[in-house]
Amino acid sequence: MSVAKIITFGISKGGCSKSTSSGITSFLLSREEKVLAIDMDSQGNLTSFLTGEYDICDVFENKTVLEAITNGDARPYIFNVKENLDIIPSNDYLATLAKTMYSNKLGLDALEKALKPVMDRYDWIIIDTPPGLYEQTLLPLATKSDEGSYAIVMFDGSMFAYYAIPKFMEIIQATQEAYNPNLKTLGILFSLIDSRAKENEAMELAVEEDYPKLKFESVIKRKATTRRLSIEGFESNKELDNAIEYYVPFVEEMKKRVKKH
Amino acid sequence: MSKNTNAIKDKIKKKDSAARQFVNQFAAEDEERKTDIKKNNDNNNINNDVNINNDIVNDSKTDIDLKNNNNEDNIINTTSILSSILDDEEPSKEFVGIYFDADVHKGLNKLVINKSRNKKKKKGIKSKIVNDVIRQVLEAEGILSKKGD
Repeated sequence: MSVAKIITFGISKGGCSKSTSSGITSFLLSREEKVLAIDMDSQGNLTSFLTGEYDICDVFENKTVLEAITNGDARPYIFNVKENLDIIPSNDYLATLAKTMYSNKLGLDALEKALKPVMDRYDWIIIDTPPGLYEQTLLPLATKSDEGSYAIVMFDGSMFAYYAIPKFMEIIQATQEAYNPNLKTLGILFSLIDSRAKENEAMELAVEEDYPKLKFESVIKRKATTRRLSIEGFESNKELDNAIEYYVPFVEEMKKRVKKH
Repeated sequence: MSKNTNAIKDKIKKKDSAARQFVNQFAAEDEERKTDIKKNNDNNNINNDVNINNDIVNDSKTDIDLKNNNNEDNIINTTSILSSILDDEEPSKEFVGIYFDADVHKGLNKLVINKSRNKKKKKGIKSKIVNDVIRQVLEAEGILSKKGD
């Protein structure tokens, strides 16, 4: 029986569109396949983005990925968003994850253990992570899958993000060596790229030089309709096709890269 | 390049990144945990392959209501059980082998870890928890007289 492929979106810098990209990717994949989205960021942006709920502390009180990890079973904490798309939500309390893991003597395999009962229910598990070296970032990267475990590195074209790439690559490598030998970097996704910015070409060249063949051909350009997705939602949104325009080829490219591996 | 410079250069290159140190600390804790679990298993008084005979608990003559029904005799007060652990004198013991449901066993292990954390005396806590829970049930059914009676 096949199990889910795991894709973790990350970068050690905030505001690089991890939540938006993981959310839209989950949505697009769910048009044809079964997807589980997991929000590993205590900000809960992916949770709000997909569920439309912003009062996440109340709505998902004691029903988040924190409880799934603590109790070693994700099943009671999976919420259905729409056909083929489920989510394990997050809220502010996920910020206590480190303390919880210490108190319960949980290791970096804790998320893998929690997901074990549901791995065969999905084709894809898409995970959003916070920007930084936290347990919330390491747990998804340490989660093994027979169908593959991948990291997508986000890059918004800024100098800060440029210097955040090697930090995140170091996190990927360290986790791969210690916990998840099959973890692979699927690629670097340029996102929120401002077409007017003079430095785009230089940034592209710099990243290509440092990380040959990792950059995705698809580039997600900055768009007002994409930004408005969090207001208008995915259903009955007249702007939807425009908002996800750049993500459609990206998801196809992502699937091809996964197949190649 | 001098020997000293080479040695310093090696130290610089071998220095672990923050990410590597962070991840490796978990790997080290995992190893420690595995060693502790092995030690606990070796020292445990109750065989982990424990089979509870349901006939005793489900005997029709002893209709035990384990839900909270305001009947003090039939309520198992876990707080009072756990608070008395390690404080009482220990009577003589007999080794038995019984089976637990997997989730009960897992929950018991978790409870033991939580409750033994700050205790000096960690050995035999699992046996005490199970023993005292069963004792309460038997006292409630009049099979054993209450301690101090």
